[in-house]
Amino acid sequence: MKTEDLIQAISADLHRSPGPERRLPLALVLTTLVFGGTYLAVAGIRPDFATAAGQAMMMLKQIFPVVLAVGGLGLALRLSRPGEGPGAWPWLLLAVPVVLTAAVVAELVRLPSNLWMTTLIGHSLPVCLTMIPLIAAPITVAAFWALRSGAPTRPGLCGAVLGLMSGGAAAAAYAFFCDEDAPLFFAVWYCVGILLVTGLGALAGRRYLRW
Amino acid sequence: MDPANAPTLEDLLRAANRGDRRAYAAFLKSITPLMRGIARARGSGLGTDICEDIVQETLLAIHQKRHTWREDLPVRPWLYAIVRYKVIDAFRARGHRVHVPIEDFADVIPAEDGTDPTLMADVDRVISQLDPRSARIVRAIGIEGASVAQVAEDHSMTETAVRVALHRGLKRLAALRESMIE
Repeated sequence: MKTEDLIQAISADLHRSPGPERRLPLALVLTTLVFGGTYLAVAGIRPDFATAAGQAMMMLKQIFPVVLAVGGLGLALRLSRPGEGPGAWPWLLLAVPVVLTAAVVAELVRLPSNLWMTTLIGHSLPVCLTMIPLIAAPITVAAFWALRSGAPTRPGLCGAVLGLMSGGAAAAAYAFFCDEDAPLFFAVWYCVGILLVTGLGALAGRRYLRW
Repeated sequence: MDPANAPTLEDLLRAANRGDRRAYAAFLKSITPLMRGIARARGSGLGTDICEDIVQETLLAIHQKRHTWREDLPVRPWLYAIVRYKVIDAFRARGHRVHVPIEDFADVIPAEDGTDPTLMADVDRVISQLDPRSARIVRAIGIEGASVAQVAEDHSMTETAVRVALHRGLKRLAALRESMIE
């Protein structure tokens, strides 16, 4: 078949698939509600949620994962359209480590150094490191599925961003259970969990986001 | 045609998105020489038939992903990014590493089709892997230039069924081509 014939056949096919612009946010919100919600229904929201709400560090712990999820969503959609730049999304994402580092440094200054280690370890480290990647896993799978109709020219990077988004969403849900409001704890361990999902997303992206 | 009044690539692809088959064919035809130029400039050692296969793979990719172009943006950056990705990918699948700098798109000399059609057996080999009905439909519309309505009548199918079969056939074609490169 000559190229001209192929063009003729292609041009008769006027069915356009929908892009990931609707599917990805939908997949993110639904899976976060279902899997984050299931975890919270089983493990329970922290009993002191109402009294802790409003304290600055507790709010930071609730909000920074949401920023990662939203920023990751926006950036992933940009990356799924060939030839488009990243826009302002990386700046939003970059604000997170800046603010977290500032919060950790402030805490280190405030705390006597003999308390640093116990604060860092906290009392729920194994749960935290297990649950964030575990809740993130189905969110990541749904996100990869939603992005099949996209065309990321850097599939590894796009997969990493989807992992970041899913890890952020999982941590945002997990934060309702977690009663550790010390930045030294959550800035470190939440980020370890989220970055683990990000790394796995990069590996999976190189394989499953190719087109 | 007066070049000042000639429709731009954006006009053509927008019209194609509204269901204008002629505009879509014109769009694909006008971008093919550039893609061929890139493939030949980068893969001069591979022979023109393999380069033509790469052009066809890229055309299929553009077709499958054309909804990722946003109508308020220029077509070229989108198009070049797809061509670059697919050309690199197609060479890699054949065991060659190529570098396609984006400046290439400004410098490359668009190439007209000069290949001997008998060389291009590859896509036919792939089409024969489709289910027989899809293969007949792709061939009838592509090679014989039949319209969807004609094919529907010849195969006593509805036009919608022909469109669906064509769409699925092309999608499958794109996937098969990837997997059939040794």
